[in-house]
Amino acid sequence: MELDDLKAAWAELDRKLTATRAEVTRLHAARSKSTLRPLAWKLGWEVCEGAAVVLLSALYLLKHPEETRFALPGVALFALGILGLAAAVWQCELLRRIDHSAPVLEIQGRLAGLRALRLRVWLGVMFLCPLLWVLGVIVLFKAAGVDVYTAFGWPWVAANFAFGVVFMGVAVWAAQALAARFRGSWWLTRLADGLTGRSLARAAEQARQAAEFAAE
Amino acid sequence: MMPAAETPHERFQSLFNLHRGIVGKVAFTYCRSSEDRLDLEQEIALQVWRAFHRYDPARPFATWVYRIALNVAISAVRDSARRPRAVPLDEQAVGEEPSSSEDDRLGVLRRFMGQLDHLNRALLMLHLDDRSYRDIADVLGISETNVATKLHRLKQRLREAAES
Repeated sequence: MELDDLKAAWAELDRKLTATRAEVTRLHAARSKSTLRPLAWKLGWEVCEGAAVVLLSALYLLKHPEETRFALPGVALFALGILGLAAAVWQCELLRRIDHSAPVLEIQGRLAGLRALRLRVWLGVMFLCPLLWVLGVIVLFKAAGVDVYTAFGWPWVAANFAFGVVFMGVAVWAAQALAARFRGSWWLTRLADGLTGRSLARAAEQARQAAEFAAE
Repeated sequence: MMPAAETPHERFQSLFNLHRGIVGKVAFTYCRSSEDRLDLEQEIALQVWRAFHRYDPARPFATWVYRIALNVAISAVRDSARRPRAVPLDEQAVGEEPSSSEDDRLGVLRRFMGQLDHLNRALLMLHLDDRSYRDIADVLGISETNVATKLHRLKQRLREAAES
């Protein structure tokens, strides 16, 4: 079998597709659902989230600048908000630059890069949240007039940090050790792949394949 | 009386209808089920329409449509592979069951395409569609020499697959 022999099969396929085209066109009229993920909406939401964190933590800092133990969590949340907002805006810009009428390798390389960036941001959020949620608690309680340090004590704050470290360690171990058991569940598989870096490795592999394909 | 000037939508429709076959073939190349093919064809048509205001009439419309169709198809297949509905390309028949020698060749073609990665599948599809090396290079964004080299490798792979 030669490659050119397959052209006859391809022509036959073209004939069949042409014959079924009328039916396809009719069915199209009844369908309006896009199969592609509305990434732009997600990014728009993430921009709003980041802006809200920046705004609220800035208001908190303006109101409570006097004591370091209350100001520092606010500064940390403000910095994280800025980072999150910058990451979301940068991804929006990358998405905006994607023009599907550009050469396939260029666009697939850019999409793989965007996906890798999204996964890195997601990983950062997943690892930081269990460690830093206690900062949010300190800020929220202070905003409501409650001093967490005196209400719960320093050991409680320290224990929460320690719990965050242990929690992430256990989560990564479980994602690696129990990956096979997660295969029945789509979202658990995605979570495990994300936590262990398998998704990021796949995105990097796609970028590598595109670069390799372009190389002679 | 002078005929009314064609609106952008009418111009798009007449051009797109002439090249609709490209969309169908790309969807066939990357999707297994007829439902997925319909979704993909619709998504490609939508993206072609959205990009139409950027289309340069000095360039061939077919090449432009191939780029959009392949980019949308590869992105959609990669996205669906991460979703529960992930369905890889396989030997799903189009229309009636294979019965003649031509259909046997179609089966060989499907099996061979199913073994290829997304980019080589695009290359093979463009070659089978009788596009020139220059067109293929333009659509994929590689050099003509690279196209020739990769097609040579595909021919070797096909021979090896046929012998085994």
